[in-house]
Amino acid sequence: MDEASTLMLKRYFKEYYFRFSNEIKGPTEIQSREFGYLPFGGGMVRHISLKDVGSLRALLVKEAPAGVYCSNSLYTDPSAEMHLKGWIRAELIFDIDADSLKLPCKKVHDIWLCKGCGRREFGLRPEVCLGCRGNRLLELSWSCPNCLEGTKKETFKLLEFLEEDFGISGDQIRVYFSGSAGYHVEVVGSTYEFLDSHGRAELADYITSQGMMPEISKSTRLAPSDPGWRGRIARYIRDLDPESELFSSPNFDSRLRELVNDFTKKDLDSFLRDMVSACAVKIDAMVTTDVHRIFRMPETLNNKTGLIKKECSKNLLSSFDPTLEAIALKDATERVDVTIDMCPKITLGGETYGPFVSETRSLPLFVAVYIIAKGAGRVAPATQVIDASRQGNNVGKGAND
Amino acid sequence: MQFGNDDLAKYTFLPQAGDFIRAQGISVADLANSEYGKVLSRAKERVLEAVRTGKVSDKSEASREVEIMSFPVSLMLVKATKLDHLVSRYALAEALRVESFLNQERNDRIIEDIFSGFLRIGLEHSTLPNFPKFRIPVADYVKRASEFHKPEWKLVNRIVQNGKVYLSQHDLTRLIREEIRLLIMERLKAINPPKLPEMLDSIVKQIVQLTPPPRSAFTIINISPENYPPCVRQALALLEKGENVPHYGRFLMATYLLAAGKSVDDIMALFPKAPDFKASITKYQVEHIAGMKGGRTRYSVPSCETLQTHSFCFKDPVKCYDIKNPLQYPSRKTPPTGKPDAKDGSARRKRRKTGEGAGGGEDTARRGGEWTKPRR
Repeated sequence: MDEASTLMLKRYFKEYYFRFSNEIKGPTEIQSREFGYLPFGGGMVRHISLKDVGSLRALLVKEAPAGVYCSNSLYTDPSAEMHLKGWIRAELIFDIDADSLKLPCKKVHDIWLCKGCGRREFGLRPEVCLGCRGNRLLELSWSCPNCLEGTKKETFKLLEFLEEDFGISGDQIRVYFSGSAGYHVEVVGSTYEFLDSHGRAELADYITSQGMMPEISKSTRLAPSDPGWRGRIARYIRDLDPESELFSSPNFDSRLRELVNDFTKKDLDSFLRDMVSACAVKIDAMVTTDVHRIFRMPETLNNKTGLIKKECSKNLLSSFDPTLEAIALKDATERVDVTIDMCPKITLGGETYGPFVSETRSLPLFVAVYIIAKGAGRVAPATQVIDASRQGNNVGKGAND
Repeated sequence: MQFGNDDLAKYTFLPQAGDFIRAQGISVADLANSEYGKVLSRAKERVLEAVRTGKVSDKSEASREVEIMSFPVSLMLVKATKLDHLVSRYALAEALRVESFLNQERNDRIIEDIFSGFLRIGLEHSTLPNFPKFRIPVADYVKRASEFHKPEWKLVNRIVQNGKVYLSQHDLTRLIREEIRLLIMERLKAINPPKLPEMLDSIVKQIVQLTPPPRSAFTIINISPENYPPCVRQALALLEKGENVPHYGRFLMATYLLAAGKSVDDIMALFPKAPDFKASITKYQVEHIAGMKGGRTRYSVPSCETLQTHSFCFKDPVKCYDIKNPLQYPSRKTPPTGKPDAKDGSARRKRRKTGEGAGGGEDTARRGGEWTKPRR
């Protein structure tokens, strides 16, 4: 990233921490946590321990880092080398990211770039570059309101697993918008805190249905009121479209008999694939199973967007709109000229911007920060600029949306 | 609750059995006397059964008292051999004996007492008809079951509700085998071998002679690259193409190649094509895995199950049939039944793909630009 862009981001982050660091509560049992941060310019700083929330806030205001992280684990000596930290326990954490949902809208807003010839286009990354046929391709994924809705649905499914299957009570669950393209869920004070990474992998596999035996669904004794996966599978069969080609009858009991007696292996595979995609939750298992991570801290800014990792009450999740509520400095009236390589249509602060291709635009500060942090543009040198607001925030030149 | 002598003869590891023996007031020297001949010969038999068959039988029909008293004597004999692998084998054989009793136990109060009182696992009777008889907390279950490899032990294949897992008596008792084994191991470790009378010493010598040597823990396998398991080949192929290899792929590759006798430098030489290659960091990581840095633990090759959890299993339906660890790959050529697609076969692998490409720690402390190399 060029110097002017880095400076602009850093100034934005610094102002946020200067004005709002008092709202950062910090984790519980702060002295037992490991902290880390990513300074602008790179090079992760880890293995920091802090004595209280005051020193945490002071650090944020002073450094204004690009990313701030804190362990979900508690250690007897959090600043020691990893194997000497003395692991005590760790909150259970989950990460749901739009990219792993592979929603159809990715085709519209994701961008690929050929490192060979420099060609860039909207759409899914092809096997080889459509220009030079080279295979050194990079991809940049973006999120849109549809992606964020998708991750919210996954989050609701996850909450059901946590409460109904794992017996975790609602007041032990915290939900956060990740500051980028999804949600983080944290469970505090549960009996699962002492599990090692193997035990956590079992929980992750349960939620993602990894390792499920096909036999589990082949029982005429399945009932929608059954607990756990049995009930989930039964309810899926019951609620499946009456027109579904998989079953000849809309009746639950007949469908169950068909599944047990008539399904070929191919039918069963196809049924299981669809059932799992509807019922399992697409969490990132690595995040849940690793007990030595540092994880983005709530109320801090995401280095990839400039948005806040924002807590949203579990009960208000359905109406939570991160494109409105996670903006760090939405009152800033300042506009910035940004030279954009390629950016899909984005929604932020109640407005839409773009798509933009190879153009320079004048944009509100938080939009400029978002695009530059994504790596899709840079602060423009003083040249000709089109004011996006006067253009009606619509399609930019050369868009292929 | 009060255990009777018939219960103590089955569950000889319980502290109450120790009380029974203490009440007899016998010393090591007394064991050489002919009046304890039966106890001594049963103790020797217990150990030799463990050596030969891996399981200790039940002889409580003959005499409950001999059965109770021969257990601590056999522990002493095992300890006196100073053979670590026999300690482990014997503890397992005794645990299997306990398990078979628990499995057939009709007195639910004994089961409850051993679980809730002795092992501190909150055991409840299930209330649902047509469901397994017992239930225990999910956390207690996965702590133990994550060590098992058969698919039916995975939590996802169990009935789970409101933080509890439903279990049959058979599975419940299987679940705690390892714990009983560890309890017996601890008993063995705590024994200070006393000076044994000559007669006992000669029994110990016989046991040592009859015990085969242990197997090596880190297998060095000399194997050519085309015979590497598909997951290791996949990691190498991605590196060769200059594509990103996910964390678990790298970890697998490093541990596997170290086990195959490669040096840290050999492994380092494979990396320069990786998009985010930094020689010093990679060297540190590989040396760490080899046990040369950090905690000095040498990491073992991750199991097939762990690789599946992290989306890095590329199972060959024939050659990978029934293996639990990539290290076992070259020794298996064909599935034992000739049926490649058994219960954890390709259907499972296909579904795995739906979860693939998950973020990979986007929000955790990993460096990297915003542009990412795709994961395949």
